[in-house]
Amino acid sequence: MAAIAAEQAHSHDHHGPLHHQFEDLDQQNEAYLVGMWAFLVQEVMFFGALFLTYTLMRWQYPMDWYFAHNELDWKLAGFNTFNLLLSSFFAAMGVRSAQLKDRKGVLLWLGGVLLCCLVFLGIKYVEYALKWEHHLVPGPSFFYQGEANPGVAQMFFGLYFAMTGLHGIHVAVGLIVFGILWLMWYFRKTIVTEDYMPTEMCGLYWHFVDLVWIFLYPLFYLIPHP
Amino acid sequence: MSHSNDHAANHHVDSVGTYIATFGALTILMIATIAAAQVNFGHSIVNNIIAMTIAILKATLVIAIFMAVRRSSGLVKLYAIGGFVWFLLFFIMFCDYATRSWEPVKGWYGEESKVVPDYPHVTDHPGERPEKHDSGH
Repeated sequence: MAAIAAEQAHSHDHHGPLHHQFEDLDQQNEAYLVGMWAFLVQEVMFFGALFLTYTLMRWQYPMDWYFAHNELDWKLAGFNTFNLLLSSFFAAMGVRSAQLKDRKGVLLWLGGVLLCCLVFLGIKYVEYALKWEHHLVPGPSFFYQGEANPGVAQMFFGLYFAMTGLHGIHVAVGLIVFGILWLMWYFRKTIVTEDYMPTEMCGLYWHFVDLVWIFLYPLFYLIPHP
Repeated sequence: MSHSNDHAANHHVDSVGTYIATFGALTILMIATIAAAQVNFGHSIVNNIIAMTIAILKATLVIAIFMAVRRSSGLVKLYAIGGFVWFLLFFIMFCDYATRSWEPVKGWYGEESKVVPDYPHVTDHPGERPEKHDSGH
């Protein structure tokens, strides 16, 4: 016990962000990265099941999916795509500032990410509210008058809400994660200011959220006429 | 330990220009997706292939540069590649769905075996308008 305590004291004295169970910072950073990627890979599986369902349904009912997708606003979602790409750029710049220990830079870029998060969720709210008003939310009040088969259209909107909703939850989580990270930088918490890896981990999460939307956008909003 | 103070490989800081160029490329590819979706290339398969190729290009840029996988260790690359290759392997499942119609076995209701039940099964729900029953398909 004394040895562990001594080692802990030792590592706190001399190594800053290095935790006592690691040989050096390289090993610690590698453990962080591999752990984060293991999480992201299971996120791919999580979304993967929905993408598989999507592909199967669209293959089975290509014409109905084309007609049902006309109810979605590709311009609004296109702006959101640009918004998310911009936020990914901000996140990458934020991590860069963290590497350079530039606190003001981090606060600025991460503030940009937070702003993009809010804009994304705001636009999503407008989109969902319109679907609600048009009775396009699956359930007892679902009422569709377009050219697609109404049953298939309901399945389309079921999957639309499941996939964009799951993605939206990830954006909301990103808002919380980046909000806490921003506050930690603001209050000069050494856990983030002395080691750029926590900021890098949050950045990786955010880029993953961007990746999912890169595929969701053409799959839901830009379906070609079969 | 000879490498204890040498973190150059992990601490490489990319230039601002690299990130701006990546963001620019992503924006151009996004515009390309939208533009390609407005054009009819004769068959929707061509549109789908173009849209998915652009999406994969964008994803590769994000993973390689924004997520810095190109500078990561082999183990991290293995995770990153493994995750997304596994995702593609998912679609091997379609060998089953695509070839089901070749099976001589009839479905449970005596009709041809189908992946998803046909329209009469799925239209039976409260939100549907009766007059749309026979239109279209």
